[in-house]
Amino acid sequence: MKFIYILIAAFLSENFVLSKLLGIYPAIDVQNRKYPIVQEGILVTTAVTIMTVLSHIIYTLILEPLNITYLATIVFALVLFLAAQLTVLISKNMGNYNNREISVGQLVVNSVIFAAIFLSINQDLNLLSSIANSIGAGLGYTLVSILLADAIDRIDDEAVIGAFRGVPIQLISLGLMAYAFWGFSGLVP
Amino acid sequence: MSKNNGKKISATLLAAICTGLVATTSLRTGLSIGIAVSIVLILTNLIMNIFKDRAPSNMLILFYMVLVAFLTSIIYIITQAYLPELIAELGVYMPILIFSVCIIVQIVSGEENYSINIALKTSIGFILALGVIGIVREVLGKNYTAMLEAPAAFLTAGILLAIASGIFNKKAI
Repeated sequence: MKFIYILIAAFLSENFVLSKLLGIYPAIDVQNRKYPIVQEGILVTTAVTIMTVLSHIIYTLILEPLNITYLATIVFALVLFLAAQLTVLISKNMGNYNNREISVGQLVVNSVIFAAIFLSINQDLNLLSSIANSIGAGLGYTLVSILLADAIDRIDDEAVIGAFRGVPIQLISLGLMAYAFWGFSGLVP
Repeated sequence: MSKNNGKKISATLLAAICTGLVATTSLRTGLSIGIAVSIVLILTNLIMNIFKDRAPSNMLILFYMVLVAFLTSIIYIITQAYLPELIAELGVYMPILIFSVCIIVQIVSGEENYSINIALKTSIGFILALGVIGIVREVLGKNYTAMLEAPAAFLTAGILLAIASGIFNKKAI
C-alpha cells in the first residue's frame, strides 16, 4: 500500500516540477524540442527508474558498508551517464520517430533524473519505495510537460504584453498550474 | 558572430535561472548557490580547455560530468564543515543544484566548446538573478508566507524576467 501512496505523492501532490522545482527548463523549452512530448516523457521515466535502481543498489551494497557515502555525488554522476546511455539504446530499439534520435545531452539536462535518487536516500526509502518514487517523478514530469505544451498552444501571443511574450508568460502559467496542483496536497495520508 | 554569442548567453542564463529557482527562498541561499556554481563552472571550463584535445570527443561529456561532481562534492563537504546553517536550509538540494546547473549550462551553450567567456558571463548573470529573485521573495515573505512556497517562485521569476526584458527592450529568448 505504501508503494501506491509514494507513487501518487510523487505524481500529483509533491510533483517534482511544480512543488520541488526540478526539471523546469526541459519542460518550458518548447522551441528546441526535437522529440514528441509523450515519447520523451516515457524515456525520462525509463531513465529515472534505471538510475534509481542502479544507484540505490550501489549505495546500499557498496557505499554504506564501506562508509564512503561522501563519494555519493561522483558515483551518481557516473551512474547518470550509464542510465542515459542505456536509455538512448532503448530508444533506438523502440523505433525512431522521423529519424530523430534522443541524445545523452537531452536526457542529462533533465534534473529530475539526478535528483530522484538523492531525495529517496534522504527520506530513507527502501528499494521498492525508491522505484515507486522515481516512476512517479517521471510520470509527473510527463504530465506537467503535456499540460504546459497545451497551455502554450492556447496562449494568444497578440493578447500578451510585449515584455511578457515567450518565457515569462510560460513561467507564470507554470506558477498558476502549481497553485492548482497545491490542491492535491491532502491527497496522501 | 557577437549577436549569435549574445543569444547563446541569454539562453544559457535562462536555463540556469530556471534550474536554480529552488534556492531562491532568501537572499543568502540564492547568493551562495550562485557563487558555488560560478566557482565550479569557471574551474571546470579552465580544466576542460587543457584536456579537450587529449580525449575522444564522445567521452568528453562523461569526463565533464565526473569533474563537476568532484568539485561539487568538495564544495558540499566544505560547506558542511564551515556553514552548517546553510546546509540546514538547503539540505540535499545543494549538490543536486550545483551539479544540474553546471551540466545544463554546458549542454545548452554547446556541448563541445568549453568557453571561459560564456562561463564568466553566465555566472555573473546567474548570481545577480538569483540574488534579485531571492531578495524579492525574502522581503515579501516576511508578511506573506505564501511567497516562500514553490508556486510563488515561478510567478516572481516570470514577472522579474518580464520587467528585465521590458527594460532592455528585447525578448527573453
